[in-house]
Amino acid sequence: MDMDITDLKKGERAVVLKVECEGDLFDRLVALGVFSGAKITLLKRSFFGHGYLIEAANSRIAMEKEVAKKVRIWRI
Amino acid sequence: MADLILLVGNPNAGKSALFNRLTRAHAHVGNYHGVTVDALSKETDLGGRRAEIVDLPGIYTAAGGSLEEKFACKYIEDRPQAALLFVAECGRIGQFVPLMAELTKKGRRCALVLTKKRRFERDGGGVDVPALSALLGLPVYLAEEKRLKEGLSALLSAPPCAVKNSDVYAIVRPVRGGLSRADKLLLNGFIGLPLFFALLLLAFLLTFAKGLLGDRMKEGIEWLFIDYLGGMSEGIPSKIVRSLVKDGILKSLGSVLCFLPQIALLHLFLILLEESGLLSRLAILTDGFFAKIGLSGRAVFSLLMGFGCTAAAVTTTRGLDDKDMQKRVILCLPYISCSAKLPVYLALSASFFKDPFAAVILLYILGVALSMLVALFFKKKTAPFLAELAPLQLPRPLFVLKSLLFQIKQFIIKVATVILAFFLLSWFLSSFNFSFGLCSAEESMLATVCGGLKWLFAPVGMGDWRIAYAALSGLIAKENVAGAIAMLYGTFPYSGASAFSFAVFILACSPCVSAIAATAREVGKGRALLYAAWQTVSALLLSYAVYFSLIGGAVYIALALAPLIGGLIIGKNREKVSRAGKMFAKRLRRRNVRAGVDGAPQASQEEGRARQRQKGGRKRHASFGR
Repeated sequence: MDMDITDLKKGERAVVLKVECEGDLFDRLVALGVFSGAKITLLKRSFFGHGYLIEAANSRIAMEKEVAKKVRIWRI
Repeated sequence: MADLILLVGNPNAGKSALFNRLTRAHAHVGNYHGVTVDALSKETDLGGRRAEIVDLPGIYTAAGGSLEEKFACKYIEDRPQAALLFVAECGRIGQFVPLMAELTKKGRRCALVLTKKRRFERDGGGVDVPALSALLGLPVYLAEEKRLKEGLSALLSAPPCAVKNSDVYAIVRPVRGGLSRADKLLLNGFIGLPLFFALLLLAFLLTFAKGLLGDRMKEGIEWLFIDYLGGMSEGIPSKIVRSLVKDGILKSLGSVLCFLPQIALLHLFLILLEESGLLSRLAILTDGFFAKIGLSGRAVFSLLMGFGCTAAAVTTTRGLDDKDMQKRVILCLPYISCSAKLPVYLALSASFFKDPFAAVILLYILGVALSMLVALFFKKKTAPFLAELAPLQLPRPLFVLKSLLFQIKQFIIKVATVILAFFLLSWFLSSFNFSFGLCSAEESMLATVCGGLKWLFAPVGMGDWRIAYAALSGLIAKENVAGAIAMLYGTFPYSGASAFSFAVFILACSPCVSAIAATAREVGKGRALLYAAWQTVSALLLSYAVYFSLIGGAVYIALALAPLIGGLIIGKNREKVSRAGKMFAKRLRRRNVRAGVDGAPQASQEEGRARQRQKGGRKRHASFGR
């Protein structure tokens, strides 16, 4: 079952399996607390359905759909 | 040799603020990730002992991904005798422990400082400091504690130790998760968007609306220099000196300094929006919509302020992290008609529309459309949107004041001086003839120059030096165009089509010298002049196209637009080439740095990335068992 952040519903929790990108974007995601093994919660999806607001490592992070699709997760 | 204490911690954990406090320095503390990019060091006295405190760039892992991280890690490695002062936010302590353990595994003198405790506890967190200290095996302090400095001198005489990589959540109560009530409202599109729109409108009105704060202050300064002091200078006997003082110096000073209140106000609103965290929420709400034209919510603030004053709006693009987007915003700002163009539109529109108001609306819409087109046309691949939600807080008055004064100082030093020079030059050229005798505008040097330029406007039916003069005076300040027309003509004698075309020219041509100067400060002199030249040339061609289409004939439109489109394409390709060159240089530099730092050059970029990914995964397993 291949899921990423865009498959989560509001309020659902998940564990990050893999972050599928490289370089600068990877560094930024890791720095914000999105890395293999991290626990995240989807707080809300944006107005236009284009953005995702998640909670990771005690902070709230907003990302666009393109980025959300790169984070493989396992729903818990 | 003084003892070394290295400040080690995540970016934005508060290392620099701590550094400033410990050394009573004033290193710049920013509100965003990535401010410290070098090692700052300062000597200080700790309980009688000289110690050198070094503020390193923030790091997340000991492996080090970015250039700054590699630099910091190597710096730490190269100095095994230095003491480490770890700095971590209360809320991030869990993720930070593995890094501490890794850096101290061979034993080092170390201590931990916890920052942002107030916010942590406000969000529902709690930490038992002595218990944490016992669990991890090193002294732990809170950043606000008075005994921190004593703790530091104790650190210097302490024995080396290794931090135990343990699970802190047994003694650290984490913050309440989820969105706060305020955020649930603010981030809701139906509530948040109208609210932010109202805030922006309020900021705009306070700054630019007639009779309100910004406008009043502007009038005040104009009155001071032009009416009051200008009136006093009437008493000067020498005609030339009087003209110099009254029309030259005082008028210039007044016109330049009158920008100051509005620029200051705009920056004040921007800083307040940013510090309070509201700008971050606005950017998140609007990202989906503006991403399509390659702009962000933050950029929209600058664009909206362009309706008031282009120069002021340009200065507000300073904070945009994405430099490509900043350039695009600056490029398309002039098309958004500033308030100074309004009198020009009104003066001209009487000739082509029965209702001047409708004409003005049409011109404004045209301007916004052009602006969006330009933004879209020059759109390059922008970095994907990923941002942390800034904390919602009351702006710190001292910080706001300092930032504001800094911006004002920058404006006066860099922008105002340039504008002043141009004003004086313009006064000189329009008050003297070629024999350097004082004369009226019609006989001045400027008028003669415009005699040569008048052919530029012949295709729109106005091959008249006075039109060129009016257009040129718009370079100094857009209000001058209306003034020049009034002075040189009385009423506008040309046809509606000509008038409209001229209005389009004013709409699309280069902004006034103040805006060019502000642009130069942001993107460099060469670029600013290039933009101005491109805008003026394309504005001319556009005005031809408009004129020809108005008097009928699609062929003429195509002829006029062809060079315009050609110029756009050439411009775009040039940008691509120069960018490719810069990317190549960047990649070369990174490869060299990697080779230098690691000791052995990377076999290939693929291998390096794979290694990075592996390390990222492996490192995190340590904290998985929660």
